[in-house]
Amino acid sequence: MTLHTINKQTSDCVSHCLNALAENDTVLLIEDGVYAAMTGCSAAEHWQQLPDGVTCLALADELAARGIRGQIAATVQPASWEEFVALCTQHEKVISWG
Amino acid sequence: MKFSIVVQGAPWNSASALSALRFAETAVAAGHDIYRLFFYQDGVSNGALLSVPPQDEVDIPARWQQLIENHNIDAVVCAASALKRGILDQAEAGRYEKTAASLRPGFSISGLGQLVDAFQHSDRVVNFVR
Amino acid sequence: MTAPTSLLILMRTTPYGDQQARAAIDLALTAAAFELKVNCVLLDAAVLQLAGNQDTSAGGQKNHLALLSALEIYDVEALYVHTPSADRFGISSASLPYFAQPLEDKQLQQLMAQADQVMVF
Repeated sequence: MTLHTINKQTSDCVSHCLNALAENDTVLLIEDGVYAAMTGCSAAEHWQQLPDGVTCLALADELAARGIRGQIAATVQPASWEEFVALCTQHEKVISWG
Repeated sequence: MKFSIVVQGAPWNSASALSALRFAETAVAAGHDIYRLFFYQDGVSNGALLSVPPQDEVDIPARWQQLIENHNIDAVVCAASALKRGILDQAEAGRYEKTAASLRPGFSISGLGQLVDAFQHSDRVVNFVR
Repeated sequence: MTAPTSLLILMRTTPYGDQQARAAIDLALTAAAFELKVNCVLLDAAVLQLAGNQDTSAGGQKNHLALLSALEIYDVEALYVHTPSADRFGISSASLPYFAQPLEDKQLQQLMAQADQVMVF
């Protein structure tokens, strides 16, 4: 099980991450990557079609800083920094897609 | 768990430097060990002694220094990345006959092998890219 | 004796525009010198690192194609080229240099699953 982080909103980063997902992986959006969680953006529909057992989360502080907490896809859950650390321990490795 | 954290972004230039710092602080607060902090490419600027941040902004290099000193963390600045960016410790400043050293206390300069060593000996390596 | 740590380096950027591609090669060489099992993949625009006839004599940069050719000499297991990316950027399988092998999506997923560490440049 791999934890994937995305820190940019560019579609290339998101699409490579999506192609790489395996069952029970997790995606965590950080920094500007949280914009990819917004309803209406091109990535939004992907978060509804994830492989089995894959969840997508976004750092809550980053959503708040950017003023978009109320505009993200329902399937994307906010996460704390403590949860980010915990996710790293629960997955075998962490891949940062940039 | 033993974490190593790779920091590739310069403070203020990239959000990733502050992310890495917050992650490191959170990991330590949660009781994890940090095997190594590896400052790489533009990330070496996190170890800059001479940077003066605006008064009303987070002093990222100072906060790193505090974390490193409070928890005795091995904080390595990649030599190849550092030298070309003018981040030198006393030894390198002497060797290259530069007028000043510019590496913050708590940080040390070493080779890319330290990152490879971190891959081999950490439970998790978390990379904060630019 | 424990199995050596395996490292997968995914490259996504073009050469010469910034230091990312060089940094990826430096890490691959260092890790191989430490006897890690290292595989490299050119993904996305990084396939253009293989564009032929790179002439850096005017600007003095290190010739990137020459750097890539050194990977196998210094014990990097393989340099792969992601085939869908190559198709997108007009790099044909027939034109791949001897030191680069094609890689389909499924094989890329396997490499990612098997690696102990993955670094994206």
